[in-house]
Amino acid sequence: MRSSYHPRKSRLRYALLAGAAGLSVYWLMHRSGAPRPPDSAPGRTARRSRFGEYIVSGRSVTVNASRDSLYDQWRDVKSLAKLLDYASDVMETSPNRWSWVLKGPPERQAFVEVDLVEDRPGEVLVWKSTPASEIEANGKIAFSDAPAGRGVRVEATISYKPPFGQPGHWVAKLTGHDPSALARHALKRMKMIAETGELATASNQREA
Amino acid sequence: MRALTWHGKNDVRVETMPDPQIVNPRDAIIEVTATAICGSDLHLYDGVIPGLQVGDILGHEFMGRVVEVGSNSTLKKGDRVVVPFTISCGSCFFCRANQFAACDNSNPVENQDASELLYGHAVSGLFGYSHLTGGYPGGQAQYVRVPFSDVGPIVIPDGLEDEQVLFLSDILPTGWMAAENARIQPGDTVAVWGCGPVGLFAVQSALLMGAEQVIAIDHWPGRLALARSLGAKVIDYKQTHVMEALMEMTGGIGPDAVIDAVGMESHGFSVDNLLDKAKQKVGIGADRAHALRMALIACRKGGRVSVPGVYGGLADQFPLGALMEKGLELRTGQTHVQHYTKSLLHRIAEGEIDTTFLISHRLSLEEAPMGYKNFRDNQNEWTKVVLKP
Repeated sequence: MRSSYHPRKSRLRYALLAGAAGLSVYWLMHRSGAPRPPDSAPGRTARRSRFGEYIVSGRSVTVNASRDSLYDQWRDVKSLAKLLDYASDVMETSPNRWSWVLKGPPERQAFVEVDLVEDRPGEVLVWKSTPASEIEANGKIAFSDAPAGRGVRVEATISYKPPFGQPGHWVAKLTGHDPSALARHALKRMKMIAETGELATASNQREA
Repeated sequence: MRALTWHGKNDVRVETMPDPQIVNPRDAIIEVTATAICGSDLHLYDGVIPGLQVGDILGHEFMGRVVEVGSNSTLKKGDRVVVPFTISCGSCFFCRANQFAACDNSNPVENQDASELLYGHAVSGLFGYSHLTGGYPGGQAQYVRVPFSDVGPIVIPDGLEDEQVLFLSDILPTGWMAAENARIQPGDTVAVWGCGPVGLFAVQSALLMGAEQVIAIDHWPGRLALARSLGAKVIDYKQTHVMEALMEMTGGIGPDAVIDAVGMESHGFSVDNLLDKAKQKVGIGADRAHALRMALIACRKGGRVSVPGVYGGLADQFPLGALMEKGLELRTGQTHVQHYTKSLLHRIAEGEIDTTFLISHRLSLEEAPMGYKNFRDNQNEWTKVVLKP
């Protein structure tokens, strides 16, 4: 007759139960309960968003170039188009108004139109989307001196309301189209152009 | 043009590919006159480095004649040049600090994301290697597009043969930097794991830098003989207990500096290495770090650890306790080739350094796949393969 008692199985069950209990206690202890005093990090690096339905992200880069030359790369629509590789039809439609078409996650496109709301040469550029824009987004590029002659620190901050909310943002992130990735790539292009005069490519063929 | 391309594990082929073109103003096109198979190419051949794509042109040790230049290149058509395997812009923060292998601008923007995820930061572009390092077409080909040709390539004066200078592209500076990272002091014993090309050049460099004795460790009699011919004492780990021998050969102190010139595909019949091998086979815990573990345990208290051996991912059972408790200093990195080419070329021209002793086989480019196989499987006789496209 087969015994219904299997010590090995039973031990496994207890181990699994104990593991689950341990994980629950860990989760209870570590879920953010009491408010914490603010730290020195930029808000966009917080573990839990403080910006409601907006996603705020950005990136900094240090460049061996002058503040003015870097500012010009963002202010001039022709050079801006080089930085926004993920966008097409980058245009200055009227003074202080730009538009472009964003290549979104899987084969989607979105029209973006922004107004320049703050413009201090060599210091800061801030833009805000217009009601005509299909994505509600604001951007800021700030230039400051890096310490000890290390060049210029350029900080890009983008806040946007993701289409389809948080799930939409996750999809964008997974496919590499989230604003943080786009800002990171744009800043790297700016740095390459400023420091080397060209954009690095592994291709050994000129584009047709 | 004809070029050696990667098609998967143990599968490299010579194929016809489009000739390279000038793409950026600082580019030059080189007609390759000599190129070599590197030990680190074998990591690609063995499929243990992530980020390769079918059809990639391999090769990062090459030299040749300039046949075309971009508008901002400082080279002239007809110049004979050796090209460093690291691609570096020369003007970013890292290049200005002579850390050329950390160049911020040579790894294409689209390729940097994966590298940032894996390593925290994107490293410089390299020729003929993983797409984590740019995916640049390499030099085991008739022609190569060389970006930033005003920074990398070094012009070779007449009177020096290709084979005398070819290794300035990688393994000679790599062996030299490995010895420099060992910060050799008078009276020092330096132990070098691995008598492949980099290990042998590290032996040569350490002796030139004034090491009292250099002990080379391997198991291939042919390679140990080469190390001995350079002036090293040798340990064959198949006949000797390495740890005991190192202690006894240093008056009970241990080597002052240790160099791991083996990297991520360590050999050896030991428990840790067998486990590593199993894990590498199924794709977890990519790096077989047996040589590095031994080096850390063998190194004397307060000694220096230099790692020119290539690692790509994560290593298990890393003896962190030995590193910390003994107060060891660890220095490593891809070679900052551009920092060393000029002074090493001078030493070659002066006859202080000879690199040709290493070359065991000279093949045509078409024979390259056979060269890969033998360089990996017959290491005793095949110490270095030079290809003439």
